[in-house]
Amino acid sequence: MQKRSELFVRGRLISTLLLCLPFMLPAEDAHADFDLFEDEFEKTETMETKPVSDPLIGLNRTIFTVNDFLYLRLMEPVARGYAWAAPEGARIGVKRFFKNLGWPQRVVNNCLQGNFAGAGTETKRFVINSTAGVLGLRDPALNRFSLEPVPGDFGQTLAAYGIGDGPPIMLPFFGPSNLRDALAKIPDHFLNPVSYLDPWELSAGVRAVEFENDTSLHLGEYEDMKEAALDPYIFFRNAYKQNRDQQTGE
Amino acid sequence: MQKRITGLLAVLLLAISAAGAQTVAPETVVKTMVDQVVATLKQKEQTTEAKLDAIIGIITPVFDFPLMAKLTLGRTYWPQLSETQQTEFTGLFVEKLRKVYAAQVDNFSEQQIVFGEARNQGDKVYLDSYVQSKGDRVSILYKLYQSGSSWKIYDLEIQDVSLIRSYNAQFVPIIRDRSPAALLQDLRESLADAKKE
Repeated sequence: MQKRSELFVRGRLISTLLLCLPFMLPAEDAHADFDLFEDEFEKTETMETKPVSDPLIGLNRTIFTVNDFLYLRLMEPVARGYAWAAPEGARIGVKRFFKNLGWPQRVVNNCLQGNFAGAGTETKRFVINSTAGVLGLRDPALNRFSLEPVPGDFGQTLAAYGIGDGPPIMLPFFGPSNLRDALAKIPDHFLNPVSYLDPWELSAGVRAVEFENDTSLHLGEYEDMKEAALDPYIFFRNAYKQNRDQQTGE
Repeated sequence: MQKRITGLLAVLLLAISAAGAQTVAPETVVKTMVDQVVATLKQKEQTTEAKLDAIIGIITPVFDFPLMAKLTLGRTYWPQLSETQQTEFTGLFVEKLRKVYAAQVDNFSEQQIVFGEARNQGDKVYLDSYVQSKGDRVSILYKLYQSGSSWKIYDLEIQDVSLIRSYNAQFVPIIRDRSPAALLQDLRESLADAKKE
């Protein structure tokens, strides 16, 4: 396009252009592109302007390697078998069932963050989905009433009270986290009805079903992300931070 | 006479293409691209490789890959590469992204893509979208800037994770702790590993 316009005016401007060319080239500053994106990329904390503080990096990388092995050799093969046996629609239903049980956690944390409208929406969703949605297996609250889920966890609540995320921590099984979010898992644990199943083996078993069910809906995605990465540990550590910073409004 | 007609035609053509170039809104740029990509993915009789080539052809004019490569290193580290290294780095980065797309071609299932309203972010434009996938909502944000007379994508955010920031976090420590040559070496190796599989 630009070339054609140049052709069009060539007759008159060619000599001027030729004269100006040597002066125009140095004017194309090597930093012009960076200036254009200064606010977005150069000034933000998520860019590597200085080394990321990761005091436990050795341990974190080790746990990442163990998690990677367990996931690829144990959890995902189990999920593949399960996905083969159970139809996808049923598995989505199971996922929704567990998500519906997260209602106490979301309500409490939304309230603690002063988001009472969010807590109200979550309660409406819980009532509709537990009844019309057959114990949460379906999501008529979203599909019929356009009530979007409002996430809420204790890590967000702590962030709302000004508590920073702390150093990155790679948790066994759970994956990337940080000190704040790792500790926040404890109160959230007590807000989940599954934690109160007795005996504890049953509770752990139900958790395992929830995990395998989720995994069965995301087969191959972990491998794809790993392949897209150059340093998978850094990729997951950074992706977690970006995603959480957005959720906690940092 | 004939000369005059040819001249008129040339002017007309220029006018049409000039008008076309000025009026393509950023959201139209993205939606047209996505529609074409989805149409390509739906062609069942095509091989994965053929589909991938077609998709690369569709997205290459819309994504500013050389700029993206530059942005992943940023103001401090990009100039630490020699000009030859910069060219090689850009090539390797684009090939890496191509691999990312290749993995997605086979996974494609008919998901509905929903676009939000384009919003101005300074002199850039952000376009929100999401796909509903297996009971989850996956958000994809397209970020565009004006390059000459057209809008081009310079970054993508999937679930709030920016492509530029993600690669920045991985690339920069390698340059800082080792060298620009080590980054190129690692990239070459990762692409070679992927080919072997």
